[in-house]
Formats: sequence, structure tokens, C-alpha cells
Amino acid sequence: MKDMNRTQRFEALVRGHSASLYRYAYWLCDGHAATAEDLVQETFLRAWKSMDQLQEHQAAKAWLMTILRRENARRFERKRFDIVDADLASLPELTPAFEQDLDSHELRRAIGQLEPGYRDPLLLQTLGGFSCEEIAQIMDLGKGAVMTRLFRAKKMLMDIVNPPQAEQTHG
Amino acid sequence: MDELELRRRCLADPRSTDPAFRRELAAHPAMQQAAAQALHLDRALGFALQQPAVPPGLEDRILLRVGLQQNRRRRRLALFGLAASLLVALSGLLLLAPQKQGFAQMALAHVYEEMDHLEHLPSAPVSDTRLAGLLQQLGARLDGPLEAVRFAFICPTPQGPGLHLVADGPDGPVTVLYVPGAQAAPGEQHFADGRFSGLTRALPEGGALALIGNSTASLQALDLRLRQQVRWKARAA
Repeated sequence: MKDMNRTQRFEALVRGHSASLYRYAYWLCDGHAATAEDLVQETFLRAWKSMDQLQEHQAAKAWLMTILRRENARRFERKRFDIVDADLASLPELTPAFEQDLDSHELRRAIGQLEPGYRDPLLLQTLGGFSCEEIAQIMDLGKGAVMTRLFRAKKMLMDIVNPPQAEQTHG
Repeated sequence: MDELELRRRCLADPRSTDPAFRRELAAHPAMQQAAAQALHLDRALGFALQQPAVPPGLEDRILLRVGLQQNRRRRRLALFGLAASLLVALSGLLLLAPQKQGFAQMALAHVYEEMDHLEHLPSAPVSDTRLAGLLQQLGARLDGPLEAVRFAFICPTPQGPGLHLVADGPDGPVTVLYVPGAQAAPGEQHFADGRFSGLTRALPEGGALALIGNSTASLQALDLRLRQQVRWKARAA
């Protein structure tokens, strides 16, 4: 019975969080889809083994993201995979709306240019829906540092998407 | 909180519910515009990051892999029992024709590999829409409900991709493996090991079908439903 509950709880975790985890992993792997899927599978394998550590269901997403980050770090400890960078800006769109299409295209291109240290908290905030406190916990940083990184990341994005006027005009 | 800090927090975390931040924001109308722009940026980011689309079947592959991992662990613990069972299976299969032997053996091995899944099947049945989609991927068509299918997944096999179904039968779960690229001995062939009964059928449209379960009655019941509701190779001329 206990085992059944564990299996059902695990299945709920997979169904509820695998999409966000995959998208997060995708960016951590610089757009390499196969590596991202491997990373998500490894994450859930580890999560299954450590299910007893998860006390609160509400904390599941942060717990899984933390495991994924550790698995990603372990991947680099083991060996550096030959990752072929996909063109992060040229992914197929879900909407035919041209204006939104253009914005998303530009934004993804800009996100791809961010340093991982800035991109990471941004992804956790946007994909994970985490607060600065939660991101600080996941990344093992101070809340102030997280806020600074988020501020800089968004500022850089805005500058990439809409370059400051002085840089645009030259003659 | 000075203006610089307020501006920083507006952009970094415009949704923050921190009372000090909300109070300061309310007192600075000019900053409210900045906060609105930051929220707009956050929404645009949220939309942009909905890409890429999640690969189809990801959840099932995760569950399958975890199930297989579990199975491996259990198998190590139950090595003697399983080895005996496989020996019986092997000796039975050696009597079969070479082509059938390969397909039946592969199907049986697949079932043993996924033993853990048979023991912990999801409680919700697989929808007919999903089943129809998976069958369509392999060129087959679902003409009516199959009922009580608890697991459906396209698995890689040595003969190419195959549809793996697990459905409830009168004597426990029945596994179905349909591999369009496989060959089996003509007609219907039955086999059994110490634990499972099975049958393979070479399909007239091409490809092979295997059903494996706890009893011949279970196999026949599901085989009848498959014959009535599924057209294998629906796209073939």
C-alpha cells in the first residue's frame, strides 16, 4: 500500500512538472534537446530514489529543480558532452500571431546571449514561478544577489531587444 | 528605500508582495509605469519560454525508465527465481520455428523487462484518442474503443518501433506488442513458459503481433477485441 502511494505520488510529480523541468533543462543545455531529455530523466530517477525526502507537496517543484541543477552540475563533472548548440531563436512557434512571434523570437535570441549566472535566476523566476527567496534557496545565493542578477538580466535583455539609441545611430 | 533601489526591485521582481516595496511603489506614480513595463516584459518572457514544445511521450518515457530501473533492482534480488523461469521459457522457445522464436522471445523478454510496470499500472485508463494517435503513428487505425487499456507506449525493438499496450484481462494484465517491421511464423502460434502464456500472429497486412498474459483465456478475450476494433496497416493499399 505504501509502495502504491509512492508510485502514484511519483506519477503525479512526473505529470505535473516534467514540462517545466524539460524547458528549464533545455536552456541549461544550451538548446540541446536530447541532452535536456536525458537530464530530466536522470532528475526523475534520482527523485524516485529520494521520494521519502519530499515532505510537502507544495515544495515539489523547487525540490525537483534543485535535483535537476545538481544533475546538470554532475554532468559537467563526469565529462563535457559534445553539445551542438541549436539556434535558440529559431524554434518553431506555437502561435501564428506575427507581432508576438517576432517578440518571442527576439527574446529567445536575447536569452540565449545571457551569461548562465544571469540566465539561471531568470529561468527559475519565469519557468518555475519562484519568488526571489525561493530562487536564493535553490541557487544557494543571498536574496539581494538574486535580485541584482534578475535586474541585470532583464536590463541586458531590454538592451539586446531594443539597443540604446546611441549604439544604433552611427554614421 | 531610495529611488534606485525601488527601480531595481521594479524590474527584478515586479510581482513582489513585500509590503515595504508595495508601499513605496504606491507613493511613486512614476515608478508604477516602470513596474507595469516590467510586468509586460515578464509576460512576454513567459510566452517566449513556452518554447520549445515538450517532446511527445516524455512523461511516459520517464515512468518507463524508472519502472525499468526498479525492475532491475528487484531482478537482482530475485535472481534465482527469475533465472529458473527464463530457463523454462528458453527451453520452450527452442522448440519454435526460428522466425517465431525471435519475435516471441523478444516479446517475452520485453514483458520481463517491464515486470514492474505490470505490477504498478496507472489507475486511469489510456484514452481512445491517445490510443488512436499511437496506432496512427504506426500506420494502424482504431475503429472502436478497446477498453481497459492501462498503458500504451511506442517502444524501440530490434525490429523497429512497436506499440506496447497493457490491458486488463480476466486473469490479470495482458501485454500486446505490435511491431510493423517484424516477421513471425505464419498463422497463430502459441507458447508458454513457467509464468506466462503467449501467442504470436503474423499479420496478413505485414508486421507481427504478440499477446502475453497469465492465461490463454485472457489472451483470447483481448485478441478478439483487437480483431474487432483495430485495423493494422490501415494506410496500406
